Amino acid sequence: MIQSNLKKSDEFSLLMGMANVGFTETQSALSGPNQQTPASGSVAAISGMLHYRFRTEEKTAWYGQFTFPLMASQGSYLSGGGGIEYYFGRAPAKIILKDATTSFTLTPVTRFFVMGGLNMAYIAYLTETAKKNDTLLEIDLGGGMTRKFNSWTLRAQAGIARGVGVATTTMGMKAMIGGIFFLD
Amino acid sequence: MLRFNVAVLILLSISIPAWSAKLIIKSQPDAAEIYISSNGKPVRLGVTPYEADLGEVIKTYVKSNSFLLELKKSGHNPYRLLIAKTDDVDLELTANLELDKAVSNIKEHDALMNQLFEIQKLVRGRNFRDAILKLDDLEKKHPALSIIPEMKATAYYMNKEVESALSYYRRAFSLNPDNHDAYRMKIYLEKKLGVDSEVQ
Repeated sequence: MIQSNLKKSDEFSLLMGMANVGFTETQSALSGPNQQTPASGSVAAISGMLHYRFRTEEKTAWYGQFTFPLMASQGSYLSGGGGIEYYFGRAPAKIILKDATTSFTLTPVTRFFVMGGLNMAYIAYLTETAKKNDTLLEIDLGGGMTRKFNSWTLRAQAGIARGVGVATTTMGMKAMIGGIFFLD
Repeated sequence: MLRFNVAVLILLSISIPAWSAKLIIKSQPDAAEIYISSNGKPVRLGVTPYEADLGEVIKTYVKSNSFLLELKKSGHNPYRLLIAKTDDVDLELTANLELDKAVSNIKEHDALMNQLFEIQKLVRGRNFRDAILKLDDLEKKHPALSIIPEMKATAYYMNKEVESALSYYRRAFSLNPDNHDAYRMKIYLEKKLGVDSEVQ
């Protein structure tokens, strides 16, 4: 649009929603005299998410995010990681031009995006006999939208994550909604 | 759960009321005329501060892939900005309009005259020290004006510093040979001090 002195704004989002992670214990992790049948189940939690978006290019931006439990029924799930977002449409970011005579701001009204990344996650879960926990490496895939209103911008996103840990494999789903702060 | 997630997103995208993109134009100072042109004659949009539906503006006035916004205000240089056609962003422009050079010069001269009047008051009040300090500052800003060394010479003369006065009358005359007052005083003081006429 304007070729010089442009700054693409970083974004910080505060989101809240639901995380539901199904787990299955791996047979090989259960050994010794107390060996039992592998347990499976799910951990569901109302979760919060901190999301930071940076290094916006033509269509893509990097992100880092951290998911943490707010209210959990059984067990607990938290994860943190990063990845890349791909934006559809022509305006992936808030763009600002400032010089001696001009202050020019372009703020996208609606954006749709897909995202993919890697997380490190921690899950604590209950079996019939014990409370256990595991550390996971997750592949996270998802998508969402942002929508600008008069004085604030909404961000909504949903995704699935496939995790592999020492004792479990997991399949998780997250849906989050919240607000964006543009870091001009 | 996946069905629930997808349902939430679909619900969000259809339940949020349509929020159209805005065009906001401000200027410093206010009340600049806004013109838009796209492959044709400029059309007047309104005056600053201005706010409109960007989609409507694009639909009505923009016939190509870009458009030119022009802000005009009397006494200021026109401001122009070429923008690619887009209707999915809020577009906010604040332009600091630069003063037209002629107006800018008039303002500068007006300020100078005000300062000279102030200095004249100081001289009349026999506050020569402050008058000369202010004239020193002015001389740095306007080294080509003969009125400043002439006033400085007058201040020195009234303060009975005749040799300094002569030096500044000479400078005033050298900057502007048409400055008759400076010339008369230069000749008068040269005779009084018995020194040769010297043009610097």
